[in-house]
Amino acid sequence: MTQVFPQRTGQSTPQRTETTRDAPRLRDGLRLPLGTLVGFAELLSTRDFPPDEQREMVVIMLREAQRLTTALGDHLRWLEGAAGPAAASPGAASPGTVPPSAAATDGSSEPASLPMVLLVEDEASTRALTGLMLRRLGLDYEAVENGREALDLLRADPARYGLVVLDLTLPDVDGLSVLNELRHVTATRDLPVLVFTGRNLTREERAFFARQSVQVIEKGTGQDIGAGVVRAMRQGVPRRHAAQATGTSRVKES
Amino acid sequence: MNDRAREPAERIVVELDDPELAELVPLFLENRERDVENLVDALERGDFATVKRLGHNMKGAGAGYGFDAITEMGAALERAGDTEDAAATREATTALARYLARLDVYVAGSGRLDAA
Repeated sequence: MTQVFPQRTGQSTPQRTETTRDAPRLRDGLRLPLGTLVGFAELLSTRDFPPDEQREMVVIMLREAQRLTTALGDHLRWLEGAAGPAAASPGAASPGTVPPSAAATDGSSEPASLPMVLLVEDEASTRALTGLMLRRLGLDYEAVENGREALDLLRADPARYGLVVLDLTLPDVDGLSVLNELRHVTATRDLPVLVFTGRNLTREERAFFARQSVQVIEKGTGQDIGAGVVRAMRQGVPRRHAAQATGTSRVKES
Repeated sequence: MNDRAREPAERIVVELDDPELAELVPLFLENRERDVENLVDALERGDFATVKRLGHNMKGAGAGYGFDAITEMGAALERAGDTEDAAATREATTALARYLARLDVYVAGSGRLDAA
């Protein structure tokens, strides 16, 4: 089963089963950038990051703060329009129509500024917990239970995802096989991957992941998945999302 | 934690201060109850691969939910499965069942969390 949490884009994916997009539109418009701001602020205040990583996170936070300001401004103009023509600001939307920022969260006119995450985890409780952590970072995600489903989704639409959070011990195609395939296909060769595993890794495995530019977080060790996500995303920035980090383009325009 | 688990009358209290996380806990604990049943079945069948897999999953999830003891028991089960040690599997499974039976979870500001 694929779980989908398209909080930011709200893209329609009828073949999939679950969605968190049930909140009022303005709340969506506020919640998503707020989630990122709060999540990253929590990381910056509780963990030590090198200055360049801090800078990357602050750039993302500034962009999300701008989205927040835009969403509030758009909604205010819409409310002023709803109060009557005399109160409307220039450029206000018609009363009862969807505010611009809300439309962005509800349609495809403005793609997500942060990457969609594909979460590959067979254990339901761990999947739910990891999903909560991702949502707290303001990240949309889709979740699958095995490597086969993950590969199917990535083959069908590789540009959809900006990060894969990958368990290694999976019931059919294991995580290493998923990673190997991703690295041998041009469309996914540079896709950032965060391995999230309960396995005790050997030195050889660690060296392998380092060569593959894969971040690794060990479950049950207190390691913060948020830090791993940030580092994995950052690894992808120069290759896939460089423009996004400067606020000059959008995530899927790489 | 294992020492405490040998005293049947004593309750184990875990307090959570994260309401969002607490919403996920009933399902987590329900799955661990199911794990106990599956571990007993696996032990009867000598299916140590399943013991190892269930232990591995428990080890990975427990601490994240605030249940360090479950991570410890998961690690013990994973080792027992890996070495095909029936006695160790039985001991860890019993410890897990006792732990779950005596567990009271409280959420800050909301009181006791009811099982799913």
